[in-house]
Amino acid sequence: MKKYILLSALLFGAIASATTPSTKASTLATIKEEILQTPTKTGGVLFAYPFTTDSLPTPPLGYEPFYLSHYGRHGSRYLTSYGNCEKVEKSLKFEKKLDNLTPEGEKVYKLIRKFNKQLKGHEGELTLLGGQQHKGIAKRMQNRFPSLFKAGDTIISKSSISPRCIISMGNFCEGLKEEVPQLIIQKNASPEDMKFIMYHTPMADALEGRKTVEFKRYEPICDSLQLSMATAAKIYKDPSQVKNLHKIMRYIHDIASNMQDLDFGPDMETEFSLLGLFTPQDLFDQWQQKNYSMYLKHGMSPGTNYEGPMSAKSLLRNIVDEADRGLKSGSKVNLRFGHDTALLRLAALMGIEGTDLVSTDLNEINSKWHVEKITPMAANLQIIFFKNRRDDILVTVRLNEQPVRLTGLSHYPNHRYYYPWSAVRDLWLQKATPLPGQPYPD
Amino acid sequence: MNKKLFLVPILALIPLIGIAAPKKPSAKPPHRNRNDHRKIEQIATAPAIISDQKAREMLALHPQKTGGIYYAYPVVTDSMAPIPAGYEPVYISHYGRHGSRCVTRSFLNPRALQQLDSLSALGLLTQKGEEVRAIVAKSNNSSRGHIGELTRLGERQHKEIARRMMSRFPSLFSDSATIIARSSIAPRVIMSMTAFLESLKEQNPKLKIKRYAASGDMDFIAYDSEANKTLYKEFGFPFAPKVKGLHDSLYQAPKTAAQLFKNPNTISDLPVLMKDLHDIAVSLQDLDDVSDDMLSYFEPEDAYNFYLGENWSDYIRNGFAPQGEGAGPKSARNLLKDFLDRAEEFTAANRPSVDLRFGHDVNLMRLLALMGVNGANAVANTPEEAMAQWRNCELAPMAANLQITLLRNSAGELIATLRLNETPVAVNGLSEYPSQGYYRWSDLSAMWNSILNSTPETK
Repeated sequence: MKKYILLSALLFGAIASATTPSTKASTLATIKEEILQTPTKTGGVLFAYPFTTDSLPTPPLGYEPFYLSHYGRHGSRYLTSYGNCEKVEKSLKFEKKLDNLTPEGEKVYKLIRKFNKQLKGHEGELTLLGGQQHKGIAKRMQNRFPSLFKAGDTIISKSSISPRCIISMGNFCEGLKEEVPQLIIQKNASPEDMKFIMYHTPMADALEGRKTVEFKRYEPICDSLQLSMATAAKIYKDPSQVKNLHKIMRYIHDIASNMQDLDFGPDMETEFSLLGLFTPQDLFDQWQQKNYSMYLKHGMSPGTNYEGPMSAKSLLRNIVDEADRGLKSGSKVNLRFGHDTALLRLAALMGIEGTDLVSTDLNEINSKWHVEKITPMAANLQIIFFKNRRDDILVTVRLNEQPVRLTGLSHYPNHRYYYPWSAVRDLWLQKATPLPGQPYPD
Repeated sequence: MNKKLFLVPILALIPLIGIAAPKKPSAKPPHRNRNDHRKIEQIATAPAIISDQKAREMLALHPQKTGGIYYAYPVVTDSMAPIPAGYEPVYISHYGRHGSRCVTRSFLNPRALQQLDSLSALGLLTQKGEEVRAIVAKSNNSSRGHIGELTRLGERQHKEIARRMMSRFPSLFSDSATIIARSSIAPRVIMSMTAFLESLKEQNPKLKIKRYAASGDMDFIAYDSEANKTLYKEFGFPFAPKVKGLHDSLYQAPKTAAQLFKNPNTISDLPVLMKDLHDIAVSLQDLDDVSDDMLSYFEPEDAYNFYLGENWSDYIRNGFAPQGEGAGPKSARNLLKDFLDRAEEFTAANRPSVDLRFGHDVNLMRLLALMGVNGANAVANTPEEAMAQWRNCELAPMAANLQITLLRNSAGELIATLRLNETPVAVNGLSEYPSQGYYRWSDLSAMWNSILNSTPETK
């Protein structure tokens, strides 16, 4: 079966690389230029949701939407680990004592202390901006498909039990309610549903913690990319004296990237732009490190045995099963609220172009696979089902409210974003089937 | 701590406060569910001192109450003391417990079911015992994978409370209003808040809401001191070391056991099994998908004893029991401070006039005691004394809530009224003004500030 994955993945990857919507001319140089034009993108999964409009390719004549299946990542949030930020503060304090901080380093220290004060007690919490992102997405979804959200309709919504996801769902549903107050929304946050909303195989879990042999292999390259020596030289009189400099610099970049997600971010930034302190090359390398390690953990990565996407089988299965049920019962909408990792893995497993790259080459990966495009804060996947009077069913998929194509499938004639559901279903069911002996939630 | 304030024996019941009809009765009939039959007479019975005989009668009539904190929210109509002439509501400060939920102990159903299955295999269950086994199997199915989760009933409770709050105080929920809502980070609590806010939006889609679930807010929403944790370990759960003797004797349930088992004497640890079964029986009222009345298998006397033991443990942890040395109420200090701070922010400046908080039973019971709410701050020395004055089923059923409303007149004078579970409650040791059910806000806040000052911060 591994052969199948490898083969199909290789095959699909080859096609994907040619047609990825996000990578028209995907060389590392053009990507670097693009990334540096918007430094907040270097935050990767910390990139705040960039869309305020959606788009939908015109469906074939006679086809009307009748069912929608969704998976949404929580919106902008605070950093999840206070511990890392505290390490930065302690390290800067230590270096200050040794008189190893430059005047700019002093400013960084001051800003970090202020940031940490704000972060404490809010680790991982959804920000008001994150809530607004979800409300916006909900309203656009309702406005785009009003027939799916009529007064009196019942829709089903399931969230991860993580508070930021439930609060995201709350905001999303509030957005829907503002449009259609009489909508009935069955909301759930059930431990049971974690088996598909956020499932890790044991190996994927170990990979997430950077604990596997496979990941260890990549550690030296990641460490070097996050060193940011030129930027460190602006902060420290002698950066070589700083213990664990590569980690400290990565955490500083995390903090700098997180500013965009916070409600108090702009105030802090007017004082002093932490992202602006990084040299362009260091910024790009921080992004490279973030992007590369996310690919290794959650992408169709042969070097890490595809552990990430293999964990998304139960989620893909749930999407197919719920669609089958919805098509039978007339239920119109299934909403899910979860996490970036689950969505990255799902997109790759589904074969969404641009997300399912198969590669072991750092340059190729960073040229063609971009985490901030797949899962910025509030990232979302929408699968919309259309049918005509003869009950022929087509689906179209939107990632972050923009149309995407599916690898390895023939589209409906003259409509390159619409696919026959029967073909999509067959492929997804096949991909969602666990291999013999492969872990799968009961 | 100012002991005088709390140790005043509450012998005289403050006369029942007059009940006013809601200003704008809602067009929609209140939501009904299968527990409604026992709800109507609950209205306007703030915690009162009752005799043991009366307690037994009440619990026999409403066996769901023997569930204590599992008692499903009983109120479907709210009430309020008549608003004194010239005053208008200007501010609400609220604390709401999550609504009905599944059991939180994952082992409860499987453990009981396993034991009943073994007894059944040995032919030791009576017909009634087999019936109970079938219900436990349903309960086990229903709760598997849903431990601690809010149920649909729990959502409806919050939606209804929100709807009544809004119909009662429409001016505080106008288009320009901003509502601030803070939840504990427990999923069932966030889901309760979500249901509550959704209901507000249904009434007024233009309402602006800021919702939070911050780990840092747990310091006031759901604070647990070291002393609280110790009390829990010593008294807080069935057969905990310092109540083991009491629980062993109270949880025999001999009459009930004789009806379920052919030979109860052969069952090892019978009190544990009987307690498990009663816990399951009371938990069913909070589910939507199990409608069996398992409580009817319990003899009233046995059910009374389960409640007596459970209420006592809860009282020691959360009330002014001598054994607890006030650790429970003291740990609500940060929460009381939050009520005062937010109210001060409101009075000092033009800020949003509705503060909602969503949390847990223990924190609400402790807050009520610290605030000096009549009944909640009772001092009792025995389980029976506690039963007479302090009953967790009335203080903190599922979706229990405290609403403090401030009202102002044209002279700028502020008065306050407290409602527990949408029913007026009195604060001990304070004179009402200008009419029954109301206090000068300056008196109330001064009293609470002095409580804060005499209550050391706990760690």
